[in-house]
Amino acid sequence: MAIGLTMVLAAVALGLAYAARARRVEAATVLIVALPVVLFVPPNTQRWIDQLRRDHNRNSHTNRAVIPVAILSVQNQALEDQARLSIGSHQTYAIVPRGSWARRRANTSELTYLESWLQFQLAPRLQVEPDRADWLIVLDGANEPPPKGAAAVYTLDPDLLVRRLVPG
Amino acid sequence: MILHAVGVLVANALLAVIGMGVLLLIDGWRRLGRWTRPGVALLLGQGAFVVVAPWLLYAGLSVSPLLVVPLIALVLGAGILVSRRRALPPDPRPGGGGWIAVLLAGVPLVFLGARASYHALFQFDTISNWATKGIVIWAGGHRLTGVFDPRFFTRPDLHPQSHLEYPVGFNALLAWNFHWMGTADTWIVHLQLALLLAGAIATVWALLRPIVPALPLAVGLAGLVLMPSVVDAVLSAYADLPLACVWATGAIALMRWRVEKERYLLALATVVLSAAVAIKQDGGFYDVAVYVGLGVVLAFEERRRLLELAASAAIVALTTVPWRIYNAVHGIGTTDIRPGVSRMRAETGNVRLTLDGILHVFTSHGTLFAVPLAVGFAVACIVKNRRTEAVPLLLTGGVVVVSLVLIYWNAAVNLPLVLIPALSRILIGLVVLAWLLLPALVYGALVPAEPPS
Repeated sequence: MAIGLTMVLAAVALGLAYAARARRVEAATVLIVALPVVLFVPPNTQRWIDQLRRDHNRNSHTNRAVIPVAILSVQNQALEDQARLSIGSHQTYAIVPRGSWARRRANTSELTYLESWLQFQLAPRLQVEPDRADWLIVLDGANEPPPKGAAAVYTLDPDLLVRRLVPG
Repeated sequence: MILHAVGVLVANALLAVIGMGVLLLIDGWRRLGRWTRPGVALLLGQGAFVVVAPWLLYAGLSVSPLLVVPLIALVLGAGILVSRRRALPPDPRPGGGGWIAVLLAGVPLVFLGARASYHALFQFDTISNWATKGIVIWAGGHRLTGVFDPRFFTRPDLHPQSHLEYPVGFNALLAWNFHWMGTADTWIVHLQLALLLAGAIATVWALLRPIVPALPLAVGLAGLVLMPSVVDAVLSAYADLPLACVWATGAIALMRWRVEKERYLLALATVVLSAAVAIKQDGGFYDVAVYVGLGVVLAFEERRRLLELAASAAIVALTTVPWRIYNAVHGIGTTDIRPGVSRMRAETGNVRLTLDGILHVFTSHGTLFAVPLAVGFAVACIVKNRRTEAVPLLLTGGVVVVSLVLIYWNAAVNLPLVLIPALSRILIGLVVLAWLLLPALVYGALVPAEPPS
């Protein structure tokens, strides 16, 4: 912010100096403009290049979005955070509705919205069928026994995140 | 965050290089004014990328810089080679007074871009459709191949809200930006929409400046950036605004080709109208409307040029073939539209409902009454026998409205709940075209026939 403000002020000074043909002021202003550029651009260019180098891993992303009203009551932030942390960017997951979800047949659109939201939050990890998935997200499954063949289970009330021992 | 914005700017600078190559190939570069070329190149590059990138994806390749940058160099090299063999350059297109446009339209555009970049995604369609698919394309597969993962793109049953039947041009453009950010920043990516708007404004300036004086044209273009509907469209990050930008510009290029008879304008229109249908399937009926509108005019005026127009339309249709083949092979389609006489007989109420909805959009404050104003001035132009832009606009607009009514009449989706509220964004293409042509129509209706200064 400070650098930006300095540059704006320096640019204004440069314009005024140019208009008034004040050579000394002009030279001084060029220096003021050049200083933040020299300080700011090279290290940040290096950071940007480093960022591009890491691009092939493609697991760093900031999927920030406003949570849709339709799923406010069923969205589980802890589950999303843990899933992003645990599931590798090239791994797969499946969403398994249990508990109250199994009884909510009338309100399938809520589940569809939640699934789409999770697909966005967890992208580029892909949702596949449960028998082929590396991980299972068991919605409302915290009060039920974990699925067979679980290598690791995270309880994120009311949901479960399960790493499967032998994915299909 | 600043670095992510730098990434978007670099990504678009490279797209402008594609546009420069295409302009050199179609002999448009030296015919445009020195200061308008970069803006036209930006939109043309964005359009060309949106058309070609899905072909790479369907062929199993990636849109990573590793593959696309050499292709850009190839296009530029071919353009330079071809342009060197051409005869003496013609007089460039008049484009003077560009600083007024930069001042009036550029400043609010910078503010809009900055504001949009600090905005989280908030529309569910954008989240589940455009952003999710963009991230999957960016991150999928390897550096050069296997990006278009069939576990996602052939499974509409697992991803019902992602509209896998849509073309993926805009998603590929988002993925290209993510590559240059080095991450998938879904805030900063709004900047891409502002840059599409910038490209469209610069191109319309280049196209209309020879017939409209600088100040009214600049005021008109600035009005577009300040139009509430356009601001909302940038913030919502739907694909409707990118579609509107390329389609409206393509329509104006086609209208100018009719008058100026310059083939580079037809080529420019062909590329950006192909981009319209590569961005969203609504681009299909929008493109049909503009080709029918111009076709009717040419049928009365110069029938022999209809063949050139038909060739352009055929190229636009051919560019969609890979998308249609992919969807047909994988059985991806939509059941949202089910045409049938019995349905139409049963749902006659939908026509009234749709027309009411369309009228509501056209008369809403958010569109600054662009369509009624354009229609009014177009009629005044026709009365004054200055029909160059007026007749094609009325015909094109008429076909868009009729097409939309027919589509909605045959829709199998809840009309009042889903489709009518969507009209405000689906019609943004027509609103943008009407607004962009308004300076030319006002000038035609009010000012006596004289060459602009």
